Amino acid sequence: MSKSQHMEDWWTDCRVSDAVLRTIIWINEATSLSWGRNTHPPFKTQLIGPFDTVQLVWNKIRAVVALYAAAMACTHDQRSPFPTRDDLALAFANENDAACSDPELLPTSVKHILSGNSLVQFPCIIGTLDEFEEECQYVSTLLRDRPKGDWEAYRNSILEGVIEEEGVDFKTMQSRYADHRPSFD
Amino acid sequence: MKIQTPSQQLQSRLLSLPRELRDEIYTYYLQEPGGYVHSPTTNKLRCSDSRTIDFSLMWTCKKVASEMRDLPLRVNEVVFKPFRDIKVSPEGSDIWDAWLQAGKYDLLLGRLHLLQEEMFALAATTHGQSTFVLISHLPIPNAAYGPAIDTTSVTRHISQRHPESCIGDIMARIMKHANEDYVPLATVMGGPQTLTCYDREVIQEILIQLTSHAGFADRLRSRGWFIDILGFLTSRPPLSRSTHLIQWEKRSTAWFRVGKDPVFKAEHDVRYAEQLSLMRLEEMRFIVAKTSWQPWIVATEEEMTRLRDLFETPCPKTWSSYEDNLASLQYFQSAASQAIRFVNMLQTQSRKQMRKIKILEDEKCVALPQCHLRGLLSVSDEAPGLSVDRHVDLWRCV
Repeated sequence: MSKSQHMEDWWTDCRVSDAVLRTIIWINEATSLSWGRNTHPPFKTQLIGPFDTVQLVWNKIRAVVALYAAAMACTHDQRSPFPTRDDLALAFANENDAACSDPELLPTSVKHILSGNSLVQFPCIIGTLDEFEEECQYVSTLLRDRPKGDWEAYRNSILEGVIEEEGVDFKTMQSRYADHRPSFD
Repeated sequence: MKIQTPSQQLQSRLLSLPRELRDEIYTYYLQEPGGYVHSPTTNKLRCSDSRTIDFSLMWTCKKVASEMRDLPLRVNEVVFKPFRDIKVSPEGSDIWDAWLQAGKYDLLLGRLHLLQEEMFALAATTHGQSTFVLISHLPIPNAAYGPAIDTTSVTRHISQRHPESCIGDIMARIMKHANEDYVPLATVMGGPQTLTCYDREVIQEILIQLTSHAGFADRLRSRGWFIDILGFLTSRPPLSRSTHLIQWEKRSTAWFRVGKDPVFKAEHDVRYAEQLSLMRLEEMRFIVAKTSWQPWIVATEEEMTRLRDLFETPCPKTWSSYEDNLASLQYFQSAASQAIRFVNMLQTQSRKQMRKIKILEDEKCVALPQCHLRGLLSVSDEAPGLSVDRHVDLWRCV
């Protein structure tokens, strides 16, 4: 895909990968509010929208984080292409930054959300902690001892596609913020 | 208006009721369906249907006023929404004057963070040296240097003091490249977006110390690409760099926003790194390391101009291409930043009465809106009964 086509798509379509990355930034910031403190501050962040959108974004985040958790487990057992914790932290760093410098951060955040002990809430069917552990186990079994390319392909398969919602015109919404207009326009 | 004497007040049916009952009456009187809504233009509150709040009962006598004083914020939820500032500039204004504060702040905050991250990486690279100088606060550039300490100690200190932050981990990774001249951030961390505001505060805490060692400015000058991020062209073609220093979108955005690209930068805007004296670089180091902007509070014009002048000639000719778009740019300040602005204006006693804040983020906002709740942490420490509920619209905001 050419660079200008890439930019055009970024402008007209809401890509799953972008939505997931941006939502993860909100999750990380909300999670970090309790760092360095003895108790959780009395803050809640709810990520709201049409039910199907919230559900889709949450499902994708949970799936990506299950992959990270599986990678951690396989690294611990020395059965992943990421030999050390540092390798793991940087494993997906070139993949649009949905990875984090602290590989444990996102899995821990998702577990807190699932157990209702988080400053972040998704008003959709979030599933259970057991289901998440099963998902991690499934990915771990699937990708154990596989090369890095297979891990990346699995991750890309989760994040491909665009999000569409009846009655929501993404391009018009983007146009509200002229400052975000890329230069080709 | 007729003023009642104290003895007449005692005959008041309201004041003859027990205090508990009066409080019930006050509460019933003050409670507004939908709570209060913040008006960003006045930084005051109104009813949710835009009516002004009716405090008539409060003004009946001093005793009632005193009894009701703390109740309005205690019994009503206060709702905050993003704020779009509008500026009408006189014809002929230059682009900097015509640009909205929020837009300028968004750009400069992003650049400041890039600089601080790169400066941190450069300072934390050991360059074959095992020591850095630690000084709590340098009053002026080129101040005397303090006793040297081991970088291992700095890393251990950060990891112990901020165990949740990834900065200790990143420093440890940098130290594994001890024999390299410089360790690009991309090889020790994910993109800049992986850092939280908390992580940036940790960097800020150590940056002035890490960069205080003798010769740092010299090393800075030897780093053409570092100066490039400051906005200067270097003698090295920018596209020939082999290391991918910062995330593409963020960098591109910074360039797009000022309507310039280093490759096509007009000749009269060029200031080469070599033109900078060590003194000037030392001053830059000090400003970048010391500037600690809270993203939820837009910096003053003076603060922004000071930082801007590190990056650019005051009004580069290339900015003129940006001028055509200026009128159509929309900058929103986050709902959380408006909540902070409002509570900071209150007296401590009133702030302590707040019980429920609702923050509706439904616009794309400037200056890392994800972290803006952090600005309310001190308020929640002060008002133990306060709860803050933030709603973030995935379509409109994320």
